Amino acid sequence: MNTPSLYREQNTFFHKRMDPLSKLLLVCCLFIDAFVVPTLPGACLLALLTVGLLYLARELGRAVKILAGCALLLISIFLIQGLFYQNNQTVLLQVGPLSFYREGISYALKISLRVITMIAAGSLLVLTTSPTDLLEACVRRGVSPRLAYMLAAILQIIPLMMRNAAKIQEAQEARGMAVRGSLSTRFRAFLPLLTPLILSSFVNIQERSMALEVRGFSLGGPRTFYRSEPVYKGMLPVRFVLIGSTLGILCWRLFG
Amino acid sequence: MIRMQQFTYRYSEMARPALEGINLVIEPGECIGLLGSNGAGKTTLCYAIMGLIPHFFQGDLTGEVRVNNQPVAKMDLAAMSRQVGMVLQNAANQLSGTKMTVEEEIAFGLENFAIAQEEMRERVDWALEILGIAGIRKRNPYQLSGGQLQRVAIASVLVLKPQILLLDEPTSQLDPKGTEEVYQVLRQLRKEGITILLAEHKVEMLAQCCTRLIVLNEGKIMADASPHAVLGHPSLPDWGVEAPVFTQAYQAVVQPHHGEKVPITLRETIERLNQYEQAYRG
Repeated sequence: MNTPSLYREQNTFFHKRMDPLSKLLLVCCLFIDAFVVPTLPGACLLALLTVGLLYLARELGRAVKILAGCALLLISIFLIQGLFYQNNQTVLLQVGPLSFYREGISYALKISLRVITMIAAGSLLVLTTSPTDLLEACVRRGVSPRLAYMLAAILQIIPLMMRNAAKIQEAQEARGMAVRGSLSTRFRAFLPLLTPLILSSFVNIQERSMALEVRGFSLGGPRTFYRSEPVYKGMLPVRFVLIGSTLGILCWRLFG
Repeated sequence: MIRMQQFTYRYSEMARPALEGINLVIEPGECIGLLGSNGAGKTTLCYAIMGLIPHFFQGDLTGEVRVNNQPVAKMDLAAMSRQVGMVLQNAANQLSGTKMTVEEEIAFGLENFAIAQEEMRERVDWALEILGIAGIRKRNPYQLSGGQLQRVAIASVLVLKPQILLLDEPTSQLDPKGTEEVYQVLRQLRKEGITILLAEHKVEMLAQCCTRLIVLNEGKIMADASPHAVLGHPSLPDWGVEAPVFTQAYQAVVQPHHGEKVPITLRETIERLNQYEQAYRG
């Protein structure tokens, strides 16, 4: 049984020496910056910066897999904007009866870079932060345990679903269903997977919430922690830089 | 002490009651086996004692469940978990899902109850020791075998030091070795004086471990007596429960001639047969 988390231990700054809340702040700042930066070069720079951070965290390979999973979304952005963007004027490419416009493609590129920045930033958090560390750090700072649990649970959705899907597919395969092979075979196998996957997810959620209840999770009041709080050095300047730079970009956008 | 009086419960989406007219008294320190076919009401009975009914599940309820003389319906579910611990059927779903090591997972409930770190460590050590899993304390709970995971699930409840432990088919996903590991733990817990209610299909294991067996059928208690009396009852198959194979063989071959109470464990059967053989040869 695999761990329902994409986090893997590694010896990098992001894995070992950056605290979870600073990473959360970094992700929030990158999200805000992605929306606020108006120009294409700016969006490109931001995307490159985020990808660079993933490279430094030695998680670029796994992040690319996550980004590849969003390829359909990115392609659809290019198709829709390239064809139907309201300011389309200059034809860039003609494919049969379809005309792709320079303005639309440029706009799509900007949106796509924003999406890539956000997915890459989210991946940085998910791939370098243990859900335990994030949950504990939030609760220690006074965040409600329910809210913190939800945040940690979000980090686990994809691996949990993948694990359950693999289990169901194994069972289906054992009963003679073809689940491997060509793309069409895999697609045909995907549809019968959905119902048991969704139903089992509901059952698991109910059982998990029961298990949490019987272990006093809904009890109000303060919490204690089994682990001592880890000490992260030099995080305050990092947080100042992150907040300062984002405020700077916001001011530039609002008043510049 | 657990006391159920005229307890009837029907899940809101079901036509017939899951439990009907249950009257039951369980004294402290007893180890009770709960038998019955699927849908007989074993899990519902555990939920009712734990307080998940009526706090978690909606439905029609009459009668009362009292734990340590306090009505469960009026008690807070989280506070109940200090007195009653429940191990769910699927051990993987018992995990909090947020802890990366076995010891942290076991400490999860203690963190919720704001137990001081020093005491928490002592209790976790105790639970790890009593369940024989101290060697895997640093392992990831999601990378354990079924038997180990089941023991972690028991430890995570036991660490809260409940007076009553409810186990819902704790060995349903385990092989014979894993099953034996869990029952070894339960025998140890009995010595600690914990009241145990064990819903299970493995009749032979229950017969070895429990002092009293309760048979449920269609939500009603059909029998509530010693393992010998219950497993030797002629109506047992009608209630959807099969006695161990050797008990059935003894009932069919030996009992008609000797008329004694039936043996309920393999060892007991062998001893009894040896006695007859010696008497026959002598």
